[in-house]
Amino acid sequence: MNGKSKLTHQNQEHQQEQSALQAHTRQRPAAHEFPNVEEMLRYDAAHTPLPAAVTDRVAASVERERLRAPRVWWKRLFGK
Amino acid sequence: MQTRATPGPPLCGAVPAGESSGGRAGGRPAGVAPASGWKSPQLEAIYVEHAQAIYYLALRLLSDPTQAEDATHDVFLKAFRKLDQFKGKSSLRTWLYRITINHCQNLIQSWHHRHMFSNADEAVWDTTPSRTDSPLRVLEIKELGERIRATLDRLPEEYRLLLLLVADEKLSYEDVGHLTHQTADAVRGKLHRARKVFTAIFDQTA
Repeated sequence: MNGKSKLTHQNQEHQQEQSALQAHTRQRPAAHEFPNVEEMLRYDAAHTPLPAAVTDRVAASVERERLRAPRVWWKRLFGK
Repeated sequence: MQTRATPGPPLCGAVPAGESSGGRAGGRPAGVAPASGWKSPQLEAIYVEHAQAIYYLALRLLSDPTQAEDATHDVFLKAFRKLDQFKGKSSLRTWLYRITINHCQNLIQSWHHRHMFSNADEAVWDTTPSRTDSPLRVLEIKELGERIRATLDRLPEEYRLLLLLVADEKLSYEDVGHLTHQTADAVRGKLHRARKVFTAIFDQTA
């Protein structure tokens, strides 16, 4: 019994150490290393999303211009 | 390796069957949300392929998210209006970058809000001990964008553009040379100094 109790106590201590270590790891900021400037810029570019509003604006402007564009003479003539 | 695009269609035209828009074929890049307003799948495909790269270049050249959004919008409208003039002598990505660079440089010149980087300043950076071989370490990744912005703002314009273009893996050194009006060898030569200056300034932003 004594041996089993000692083992349980060791397990608890081990778990406490693990928890403390995990908490410490969570608090410590994650360091990132980039081999060169270009890799850093690539990472930055990949994590810089294009705002969705731009896509909608471009699509709307393209459609507006398409509707405003003069139709070629044969399309006007044949009503296409 | 470069994928060459053939002359594109006018604004309401069509890309010939099987033609790529100039880059790798693939899905929608991260950050490019679908828009419901597209009536031309061909133009949408070009936009989806290149919009994020154009926005990033504009953002880092103009250093202002709102202006970068406007620039991205204006660049794509200009490009789509002139798509029938695109002869395919360069890749579509290179052609779009050319429009973006011209557009942003015009804005920068009209704003007069950037300080000029004198040769004396450049000489100071040239005497800075080189650290280009060791990795760049960043403790707080959430601050990376801001530190890059601050660094690029202080970089000579030529170096800033060079690094941003070389960082795009779809561009060859020849493409970068074409866009910056110099030979590929000159690009390689200046790149070393550009990295060195960037690293020296970046370290100061920590």
